[in-house]
Amino acid sequence: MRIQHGLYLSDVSVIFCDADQMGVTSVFSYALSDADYLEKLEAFLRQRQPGAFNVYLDLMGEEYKQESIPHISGRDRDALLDRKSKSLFPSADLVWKKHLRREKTGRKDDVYLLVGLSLPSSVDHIFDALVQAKYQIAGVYSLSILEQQIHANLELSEQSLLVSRVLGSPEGKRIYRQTFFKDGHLAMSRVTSINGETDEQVFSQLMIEIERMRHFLAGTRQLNTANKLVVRSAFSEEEASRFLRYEVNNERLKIENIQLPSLAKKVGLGRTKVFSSLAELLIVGASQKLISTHFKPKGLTNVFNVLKTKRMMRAVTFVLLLVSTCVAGFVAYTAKVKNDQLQVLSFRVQGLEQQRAQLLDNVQETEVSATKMKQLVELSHDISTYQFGPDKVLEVIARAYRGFKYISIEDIKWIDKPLNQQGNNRRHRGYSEPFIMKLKAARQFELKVALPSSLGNREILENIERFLNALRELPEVTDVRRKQAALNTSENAEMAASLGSASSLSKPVEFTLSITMEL
Amino acid sequence: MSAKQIVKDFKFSIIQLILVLLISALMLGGAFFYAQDVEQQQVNILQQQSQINSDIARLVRDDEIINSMSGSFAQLKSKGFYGLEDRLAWTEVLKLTSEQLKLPAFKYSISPQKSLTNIGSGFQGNLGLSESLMVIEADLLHEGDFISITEQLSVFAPALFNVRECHLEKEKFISVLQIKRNIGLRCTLAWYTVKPLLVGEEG
Repeated sequence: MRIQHGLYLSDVSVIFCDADQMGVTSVFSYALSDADYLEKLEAFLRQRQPGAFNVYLDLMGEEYKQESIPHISGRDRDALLDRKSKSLFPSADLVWKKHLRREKTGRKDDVYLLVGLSLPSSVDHIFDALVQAKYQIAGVYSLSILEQQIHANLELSEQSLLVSRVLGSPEGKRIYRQTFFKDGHLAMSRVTSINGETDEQVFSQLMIEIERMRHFLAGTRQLNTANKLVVRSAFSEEEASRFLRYEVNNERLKIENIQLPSLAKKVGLGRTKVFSSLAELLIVGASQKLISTHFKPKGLTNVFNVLKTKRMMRAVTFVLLLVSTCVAGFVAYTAKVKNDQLQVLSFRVQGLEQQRAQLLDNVQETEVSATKMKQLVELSHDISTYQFGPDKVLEVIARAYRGFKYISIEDIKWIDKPLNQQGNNRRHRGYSEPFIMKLKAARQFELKVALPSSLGNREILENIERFLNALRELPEVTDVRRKQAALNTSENAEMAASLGSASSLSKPVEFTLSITMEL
Repeated sequence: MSAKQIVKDFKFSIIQLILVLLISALMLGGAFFYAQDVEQQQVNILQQQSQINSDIARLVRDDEIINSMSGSFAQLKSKGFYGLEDRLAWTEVLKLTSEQLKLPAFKYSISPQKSLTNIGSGFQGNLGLSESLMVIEADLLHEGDFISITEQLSVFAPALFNVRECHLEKEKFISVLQIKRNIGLRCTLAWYTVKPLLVGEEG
C-alpha cells in the first residue's frame, strides 16, 4: 500500500506533506521553536484527516556503531542485539540495526550497523499526540538511513561525504546534513546549522563544517588520510550550480555534485522531475518503493497495523469467499453438465434394457447352451477331420506308390504317440496334453517295403530313393526317413554278401520307412 | 499487544473470517458431494450399460450359434456323439460287417470308458467327453476290408472315433482265389461320446 502523506520532523520544524509521483508538496509547515506548534499540528490533522501517513525523522541526535556479534540466529540473536543496543545507546528512544557482513577470519562474527536515535522533547510530544489521537502511522523513517539505502545507486567510493539540505530551515539559517560513508556503508551522519543570508556566507561556513567533519573523521581514524574525501553535494539544481561556482581550495577534498533527477531515475522514481532537496527524493522513494519501516515506536504504528491487518483479513475473507464460490460453482456446474449427459445415457440404457428383454423373450429353447453346442460341433468336426482312418492314410500312401512295380508294401503301422511326445517324455512327465492338441498332432506311420534282390543293389536303392522322394512330395507328408534297411551303402556301414548260385538271391530286400503325416 | 487486545481489535474480522470459512466449507462440501454422487451414478450407469451390452452381444451370438449349428447338433445327437455310449450298437455293426465281408477271423475288445476333462483351450472342462478304446483283430482278404470296416462303423455305429493305433501286416503268400488271411489287422479305435449333463450340472 502506497502512503501518500508524510510528517517530516527535524530539530527545527514540523512539515506535513503530500508525496506522490509528482514530488513532495508541503501542506503544513511550522517551526518547533513556536510554543503552539503542537496545537497547530493537531488542529491541522483534525481538519485534514489524512488517513495513513509516514513519519520522517531528520534529526541530529543519531549515533552510529558497527558491532560484531557471534554468528547466532533466532531469538538469541535478537536478544543479544537488544542488549548491545541498550549498552551502546542507553538514552536512545529508537534503534535500527542492519546486518552488514560476516567476518571471514577468526570467530567469523556477524557485523551489524546499529543506529540509535534520541528524540528531542518536541518530537516526543508530537509522538504522544499522534498516539493519543490514534492516527494511522504506517512507518517511521530516518533520513540518514534512507540515504544509506539509496547510496548503492551512487558510484562506489572508499570514503565519501554526502551533503544535503534539511527541510524547513528558519529564516537566516540553513541546515545541512553531512553523512559519511566508508566503503559504501553508513558510518556516521551529522546535522549542521549555518547562519547566513548569502551563498558566500553560507558556503564558506559549509566548507568549514565539511573540513571540520573531515578532521573529526581523521581524528577518529575513520578516514584514510592518504586519499581524498569525496564530498558529494545533493542539492537542488539551482543551489548545486551556485555551490559549484564557489571556489574550493582544499586539496584533501574532491567535490562532486549529484543531480537529483538523475539519482531519482536510478532509484526508479524517473517520473518525478523536480526535487528541492535530497530529503524530498528520499520521502518520495520511501512512499513509492514500500520500504520497510526503520523504527516501530511503542504504540505509534499500532493503529495502522491493526487497520492493515483488518484490511488484509477482509481481503483474505473476500478472496476465500470468491475462490470457494468459483470452485464450488465450477464443480457444481460440471457435475450438472455430467448429470444432464447421464440422463441421456440413462435413456439409452433403458432402450438397451428393452432390447435385452426382447432378446430374452425370443431366446430359442435348446437342449444345451449355445456355447456348449458350438463346442460340441467343433469338437466333432475335429475328431472327424483328424480321424486318420485307413481310407485317407492308404489313399495318401497309394498316391506316392503309383508306378513302383518292384516295391511291395509288407506292413503299415499307425504309431500311437503323437510326435511331440516322442523323445520328449521327460518334459511332459506329469503333464496331460490337452485332447485337442493330441488329436491334431502330426501322426507317425511305419511302412515296411520289400524289393526283389534280383534287381541288384543299385536299382533297389534307386527305387527306394525315388519312392521316398515321391512320399516327400505329398502335401500331407511332413517327414520321411529310412528307419531300417537291409541294404546300407553308407561309408560307416559294414557290408557283406554271399555271391554265387548258392546264395539266396530270391530273398527280398526289406526297408522300414518312417512317415510323418498331417491332415 | 496482548491477546485480549488482539481479540478486541479483530473480533469482527475473525467472526467474518470464520463465517466465510464455514460458508465456503458448506458450499465446497455440497458441490463436491453432488459431484461425487453424479460420478457414482455415472459409474453405475456405465457398468449397467456395459453389462447390458455384453448380455445383448451374448444373446445375439447365442442366437446366431443356435441358428447356424442347431442342424449340426441334431445330426451329432442322432449320430450318438451327444448321448450315452451305446457299445452294444458298435458290436452289432462289427458283427454285421464281419458277416458281410466274410472275414475268417474277427475279434474285438472294448475297454472301460474314461472321461476326458482336459480337452483344450476354448472347451469347457465339464463338457462330458468320454473315451473308450476298442481293439479289433481280423484276418483280411485285402486292405479294402479294413476301409469297409471303418466306413461301416462311421456310418452305422453311434459316436465318433479315430484310429489310435493300427498294424496292417501282409502275409507272405497271397491268394485271391480263396477266402483266407492275406492281411492281418490289429487296430485300436478310440471312440468318443459326450454325455448329456443332468439338469443343474451344466456350468
